[in-house]
Amino acid sequence: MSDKPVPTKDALEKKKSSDEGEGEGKSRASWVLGWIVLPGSVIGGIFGGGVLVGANFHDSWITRAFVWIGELF
Amino acid sequence: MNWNRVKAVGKLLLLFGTPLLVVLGLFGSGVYVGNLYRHGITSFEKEWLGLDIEVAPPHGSEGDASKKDDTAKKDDAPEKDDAPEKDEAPKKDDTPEKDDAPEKDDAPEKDDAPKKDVAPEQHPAKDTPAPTPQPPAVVEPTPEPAPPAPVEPQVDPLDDALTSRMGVPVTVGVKVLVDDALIEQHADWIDYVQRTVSQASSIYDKQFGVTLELVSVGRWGVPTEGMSSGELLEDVESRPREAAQLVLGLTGRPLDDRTSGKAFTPDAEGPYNGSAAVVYAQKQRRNEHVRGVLHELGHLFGALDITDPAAPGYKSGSWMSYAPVAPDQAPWIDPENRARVLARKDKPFAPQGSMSPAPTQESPQ
Repeated sequence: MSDKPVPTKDALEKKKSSDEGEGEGKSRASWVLGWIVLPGSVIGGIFGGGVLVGANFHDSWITRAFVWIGELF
Repeated sequence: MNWNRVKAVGKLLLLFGTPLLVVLGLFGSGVYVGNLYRHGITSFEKEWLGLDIEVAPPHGSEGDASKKDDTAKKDDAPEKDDAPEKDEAPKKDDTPEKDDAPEKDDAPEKDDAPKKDVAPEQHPAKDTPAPTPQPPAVVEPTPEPAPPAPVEPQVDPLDDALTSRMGVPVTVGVKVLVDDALIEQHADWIDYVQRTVSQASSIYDKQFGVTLELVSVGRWGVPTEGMSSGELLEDVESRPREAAQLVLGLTGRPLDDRTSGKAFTPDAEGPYNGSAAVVYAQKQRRNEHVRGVLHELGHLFGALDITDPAAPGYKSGSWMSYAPVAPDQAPWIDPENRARVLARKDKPFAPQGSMSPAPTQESPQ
């Protein structure tokens, strides 16, 4: 019932090719984001948090516990 | 059936336990590394991030809780060089004469303000012989680990009169004004002021039975340059005290012509204690204002400067002296000034506008 203009064949092909280009770019960026940046931030955050705790609360029980464990190795 | 249940529980444990272990392992290794390199990390935080924290000693030295015992000796050696710390025991044994002097030196050994403060008190107030060779003893490589334990109980014995004065509880409300120079240097200036007053209060409580209560902290709108200490003091004195009994102006500017502060000092028989003081920063100290605050508060309670290098109080580094003392030396006050403060500690503070600038004391340190 709608009067939408039907895209021509050429127009469809053009659109498809440009989508593929964008898709490649997007997928690479999302791969970097998903596999490098995000995990790196999470891991770095956890490790960095530990570093700050170890440096600034060296007398706390948690630091002593981890240091004790570390010294077992 | 049971076997299936065990398997299910095992899977569940694996499912949740593994990630937990990984996270804990990461965090734990961070803690271990942080503890290992805490000197560098805290230095970075202080110097680059501008955080107002204490820089931890290098790994393996003094502060390392887990290894304290093992490394105690190593730690001492370097520390000795800095301050007249460890003379006590050895000297006492060797030369009974010098017990007084060396003991003083000992107490002020380490960083923790409150702990060390008490230590210096040990020195018998009256005995202090003028000729006692001062802190050369420090050089002695006595392997005493500065014991934090003696700190608390080691208060100078007082005679009966002073002991009873010590027992009189006095709480003083303090308002602190902070100038822009200090705020620039300490982003956490309110915390800084709280810490400073808290340390000073702890020391005054042990030495005089006086507790300082921080009533308010405010910005002090004075030019960061161009005002003399006298002008700053007059400005502080003119500020409303609100509920406080005295006002301290802390400035971030460094010692001005070796002046660490200025305060109204009452006469020995005066009816009022002083109620306003200005304290400059002493950059070489960990907390730049604590010693200055102790000194200027002492003036407000009637304590006097010790300028004679031959005086025992000067030699031992009383905080009322002009003597250069090691940055880490624990605060200690000479017996004479301690008696003055104890005698005046419960006098009322001068009402606003009643102090004339005449009796001020400058305090080079």
